[in-house]
Amino acid sequence: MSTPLDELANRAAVAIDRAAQQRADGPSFVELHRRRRARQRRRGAAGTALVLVLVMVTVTAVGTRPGLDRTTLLERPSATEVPLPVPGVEGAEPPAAGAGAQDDVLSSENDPSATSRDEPGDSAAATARDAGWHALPAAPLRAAFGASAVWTGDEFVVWGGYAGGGTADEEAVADAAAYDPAADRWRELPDAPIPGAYDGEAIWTGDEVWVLGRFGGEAGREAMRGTAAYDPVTDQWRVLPELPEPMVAAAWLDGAAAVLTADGALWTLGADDEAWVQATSPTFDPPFTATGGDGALLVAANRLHTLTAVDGDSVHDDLTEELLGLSGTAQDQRIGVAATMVDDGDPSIDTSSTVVVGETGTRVSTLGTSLHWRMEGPPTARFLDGVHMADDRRVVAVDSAASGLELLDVAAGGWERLALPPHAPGHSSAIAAGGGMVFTWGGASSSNLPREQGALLVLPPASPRTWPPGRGADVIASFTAEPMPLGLPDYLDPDPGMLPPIITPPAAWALRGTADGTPVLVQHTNDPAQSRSIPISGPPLRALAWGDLVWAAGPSADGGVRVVQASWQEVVPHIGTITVPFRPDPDGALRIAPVAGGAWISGLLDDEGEPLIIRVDQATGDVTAQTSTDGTVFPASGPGEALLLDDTTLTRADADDLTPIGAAHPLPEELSHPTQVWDDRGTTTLLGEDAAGAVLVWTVGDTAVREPQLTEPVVAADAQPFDGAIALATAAGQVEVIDLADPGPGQLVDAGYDAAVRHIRMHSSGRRVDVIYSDGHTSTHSVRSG
Amino acid sequence: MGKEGNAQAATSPALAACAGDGDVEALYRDHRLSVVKLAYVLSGSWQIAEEVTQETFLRLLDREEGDQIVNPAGWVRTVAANLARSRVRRLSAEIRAFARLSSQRREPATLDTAGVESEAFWAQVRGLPARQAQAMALHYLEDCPVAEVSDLMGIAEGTAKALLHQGRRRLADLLDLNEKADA
Repeated sequence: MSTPLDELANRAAVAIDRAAQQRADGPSFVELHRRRRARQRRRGAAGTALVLVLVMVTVTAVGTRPGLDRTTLLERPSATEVPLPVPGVEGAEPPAAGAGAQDDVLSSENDPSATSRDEPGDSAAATARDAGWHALPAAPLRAAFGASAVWTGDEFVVWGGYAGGGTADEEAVADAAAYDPAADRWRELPDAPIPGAYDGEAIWTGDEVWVLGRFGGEAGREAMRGTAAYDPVTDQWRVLPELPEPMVAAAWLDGAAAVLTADGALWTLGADDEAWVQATSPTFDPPFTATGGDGALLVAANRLHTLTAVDGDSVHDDLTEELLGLSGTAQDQRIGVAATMVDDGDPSIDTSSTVVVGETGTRVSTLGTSLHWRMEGPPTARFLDGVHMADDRRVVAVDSAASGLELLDVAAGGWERLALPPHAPGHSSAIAAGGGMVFTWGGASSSNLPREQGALLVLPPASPRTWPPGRGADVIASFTAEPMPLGLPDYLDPDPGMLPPIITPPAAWALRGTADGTPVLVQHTNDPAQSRSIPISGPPLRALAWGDLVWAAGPSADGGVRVVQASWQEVVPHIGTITVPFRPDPDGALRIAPVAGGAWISGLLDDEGEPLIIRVDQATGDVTAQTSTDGTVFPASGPGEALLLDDTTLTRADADDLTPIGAAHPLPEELSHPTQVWDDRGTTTLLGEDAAGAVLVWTVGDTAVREPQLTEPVVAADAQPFDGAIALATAAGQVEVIDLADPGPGQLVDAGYDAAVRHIRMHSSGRRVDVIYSDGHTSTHSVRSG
Repeated sequence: MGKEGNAQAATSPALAACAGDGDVEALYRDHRLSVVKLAYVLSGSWQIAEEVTQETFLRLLDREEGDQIVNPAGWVRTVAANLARSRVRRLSAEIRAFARLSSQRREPATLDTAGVESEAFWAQVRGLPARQAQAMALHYLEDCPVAEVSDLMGIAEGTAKALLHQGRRRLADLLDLNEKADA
């Protein structure tokens, strides 16, 4: 029987078939063979010479750096083993937290080894202008999108782009100009002596700006291979050898340009070389970007979706995040900062994080403890086009329209949202950063017309962050002078009844009890000086959750319920406590479901002893809605939505008043005690028990209920319903990962660590799980591979 | 759940083991268009689809000597689907550029009513979880029954059925169609 969906799908399939038939035939098989042979030749013996060069580079680089050793670099260091590299101070301890100590040590102005060309310009240019956005004067360039830009230490050089879009004169251009931020002045450069191109790269070698084309030619659809070098001293261009294949990413790496080409190969060209030389390995899928610097660092996303560092002749690919963007290394810090996907997940979902990688790709645990080397990335990362070093300690993550900017202070950690440029956002702008500035020019409007506006963001001087005074109904005016000890064991101290910690990067929160029974809300950040513990008067809190705010709830001393909220964004710390005139249901679980503008509290009883759920306003603490039900509210993934669960149905509802906005899904009969709900992009998975206490898993819409193989009690669970997986763990470390789309048995993993499991966290792809133990140990396991 | 090792027996000449370049040539001749269509549906770009198709068959040719592929028809579709998704994810800038250029030219104007409807449908398919999207594309593009979807994807038949079931339900919801669960 044909359904409307079938009919629509069949029409769509016919349309695709017709469109495919109308398109030009693909290459013949003979032609395919010819391309294959050409590719094999390119990957042939030519790379041998490069290996020798890279070996020499590596030996030189490693040999001249006290304290750097290949063996140690290949190991994943702990926070104490590898302090933050400090400019000019080999082996120095991490800077002392607080006051001016960080700035004094990290500022390039105090760096005795500061000799590179961009440093004097950095401070001079940045301090010549007030912090904030400045509109640029009119550039001597045609309005264009897809231009490339780079900071030379004195100027931002712009080259190329696609101009005249939407008109008869549209074309890829070879125009070039340089903007001097100190003088707020443009100067026109000679056109580059290569065909115009857009979406290319501009890299600074220390002496020259090298430009590499990407697209251009007829209608801008041809792949370009032209490269050229501009010397700002002589104001002249010279033509460089053509790229053997179209470029997808380029970086300056130890005296040579390293270029990743569209066929996945790595090529290099030194300043005096006459031809590009291909490396024998590795080969890459086209990556997003690459970078090089003082050390031998080139990072790309290879075909295994790994973050890969190429160090001389060695390739390190122990980093498994997918690369979204990457900043260059800076001066002597020899670090790269990559904004990455946590997993091979849907890039439209903000699961980004940031890792700091050392020059061989090993993680530098300077961002905190073993837990916190990975920090949640900026909210703008879903549209992220790149990250740039704004100066020697700060990284700017920005999309190609500069319509979302976030600043990361590498030394201190933590992303900060930046103001947007004064002109309307578009896309495909030329963006560069350096000298404490972010530069943007051109781009395309929403109607795809090229623009000619530009703007310069001068960042404020890096300064130690301080906590502003607290506010709220129950203000904690000052924070503990003694930082909480670092490390997971601290907040995983097995207090009776302790809730799993919640991770709200760049901080983690936990509820603890003290010896006298006082509950303490602990915020643990990357910077020990910023960590804090907040005593909450009254009995222990029994619920913890986070959304825009961290929420906790528990009984009050007078028999009511206290609701505590705190900001997890470190720059706006506050905590407030209200008491609502209801009491916790002694038979039910007190739960909090943060929603937009507030939170739903479930597990209450009203004056009549009837079950009740209430909504508390985030700003005022007022109870804005209440419903008599013994159901429980869970957060939903859709905006303005919440999920209301009772013993028989699950209903998607309006987050403000729980008005149903979707069908009520009857729960399977055997799932008599649902306890946990995960909702991800409309896919909802429940965990519960049957009447006999056996654990069951059900995804809304499935006809079957899954029963895990685990025989011991499940103590922790986490799910990624949209990606089709749930992970369950027993206290003894047996983990079962169930593929929700596969009716077969789940995958059993023996976590293999001798401590009680406290918490399990499934990564967004559903292909990795973190198991967190009572002694603070965390193990990560790859699951559902293949 | 292995992507390459399809343990199921080949059921048609198209699914026969592939050993030499001659086999690849036949496979290329017979399946190129299907792979292009699949890659298009999963990427939304004909250019990417054609690049992905070439890359898929080049990888098939480049495999190690003696490295037999049990189910080459499934192999090329799986590789193409993975490549298509990978390209979309990683080359978003290029996709935007091409989309932008395309939008300035004729392509939107050339879409007839059927084309618009088709684009809307496949756009929703692309929004499904990866394996659901792949299963739905195979099912509707190539009119594959469940057993053949499971063969081509190298998954159990029950899994293929579950993926199609979930995909159909999701699409019916998204497209606001009255879809009977078991129709």
